[in-house]
Amino acid sequence: MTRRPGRPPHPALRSLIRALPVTPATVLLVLFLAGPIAYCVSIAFTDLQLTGQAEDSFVGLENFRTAFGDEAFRNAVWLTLVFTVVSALLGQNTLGLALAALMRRASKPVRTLVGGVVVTAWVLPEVVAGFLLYAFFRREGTLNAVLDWLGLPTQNWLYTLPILAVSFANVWRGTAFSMLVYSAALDEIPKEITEAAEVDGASGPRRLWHITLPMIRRSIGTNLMLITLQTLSVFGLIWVMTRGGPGGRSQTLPLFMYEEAFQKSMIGYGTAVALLLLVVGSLFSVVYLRLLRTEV
Amino acid sequence: MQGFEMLLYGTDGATDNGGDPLYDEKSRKWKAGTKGFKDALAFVETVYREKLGPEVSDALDPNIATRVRGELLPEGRLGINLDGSWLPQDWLPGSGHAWPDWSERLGLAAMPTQHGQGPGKVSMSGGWTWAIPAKAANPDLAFAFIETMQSKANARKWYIANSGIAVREDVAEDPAYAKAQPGIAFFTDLVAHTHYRPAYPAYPKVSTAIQEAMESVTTGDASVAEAAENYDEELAAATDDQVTRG
Repeated sequence: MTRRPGRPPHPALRSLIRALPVTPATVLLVLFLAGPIAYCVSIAFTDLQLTGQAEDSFVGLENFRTAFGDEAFRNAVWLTLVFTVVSALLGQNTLGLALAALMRRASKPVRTLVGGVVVTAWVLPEVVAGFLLYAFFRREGTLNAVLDWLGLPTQNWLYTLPILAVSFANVWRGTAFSMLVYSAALDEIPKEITEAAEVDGASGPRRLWHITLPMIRRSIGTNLMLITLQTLSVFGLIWVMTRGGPGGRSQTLPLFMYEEAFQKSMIGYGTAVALLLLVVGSLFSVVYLRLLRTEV
Repeated sequence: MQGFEMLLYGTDGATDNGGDPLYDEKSRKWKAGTKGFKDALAFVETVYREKLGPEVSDALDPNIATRVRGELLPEGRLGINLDGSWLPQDWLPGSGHAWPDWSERLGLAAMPTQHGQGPGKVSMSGGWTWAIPAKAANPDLAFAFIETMQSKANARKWYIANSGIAVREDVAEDPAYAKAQPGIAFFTDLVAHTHYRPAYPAYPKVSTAIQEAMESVTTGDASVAEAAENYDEELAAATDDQVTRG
């Protein structure tokens, strides 16, 4: 039996048939991803509370006005910026790059050992990591034991410098991700280019600045974007270590949001804060995307 | 940060028939600027400023309650712990820090009122209730079920098993209940003088505002007057300005 060449179906029908296989996925996406986001946006403009109130009402931009007028919110925004810049941009990013670069020159056992330790910190569940670092920083903790042994003054770090303590915790926990990204990126740099620079007499720092960094620029951008978004949403780590305290001194936006939405039961206001957190994340993303776009 | 309401409900405004120190039932408004509130804050401030309690940094540690139950009390490193009837549950065998002879090493005392004025002691209670939703499919059966659960025999079994405080007087008087756990008779007697927090939708926000006020005098971030003023502002925001000034 030979197959007769049939007339191609009508273009509209054809695209309909082609769309058929992706329909279930699209429906699921709309239902479970777009749906909750739309619901989230809609309740951010209401005074919905989790206290069994009779009915909620549309309040327009009231929640956002409240947020900007709230000193605790502004404090949380500031702490979120400090936390993100210190722990993600400066900490995880630079340390990850440094580790990746050093490990290229290290011997195999050292590489395996360091890689193993760093990745272990990364795969630990957030609550476990939080508790370990709580034990490290508390008054009778490991850090103070070491300082005491060295004859240096000790203090309760979670009380005196809570935002730095939780930032350090985030560096400790998250550096592995940057290290893995940069290890992969550094492997991509052709040896000839580095060798050529070496032959031309470029020193180590110069090679880093003029060869390595420009060549892994895309990885830097992607990595910065990912770790920033991860860091902006860190909740469990800080919750376990300080509960956002003392006196709100480590209360970043996710913790502030949790307090408003679930402890004070103002889910409408809490959701509005969540949207503002989204705005902060997008602002960072815009900056990184611009960085990525410029060609060398 | 706990214990503030134990202080507040023992102040003059609460004990001299002033009613609930947080909420005025008559005008249906929340009370701002009361002297009792400031007195209670002043007490907290004094405890930390004069170093009568733990170090501020320890008091604000999120795990302080666990340390008090698991280490400080059993190791005899804490003189007075302001806590509640649920505490001995943490010392039962199998809890991870069993302390079988706690009742021989710890004494129980009721929280006194501000100047010892009547009734002389303060207690706060919270809890839960069985309820039947308005739209329940079979409310009669649900009611019968609750009746069965709350019969004397069943209620006694339940309160002994979860070391709770009985709400039925016949259970409270039952020797099997009273001797089930050391301290149960003591706590059950306190129920006569106990207070309940105002159970209104705004309360969770009011409670957070109280926490913030207490925390700010603990750290020394705010004076008593400033903390009370902040509380009044938070209270107005939390209750849609349903506030009365005493």
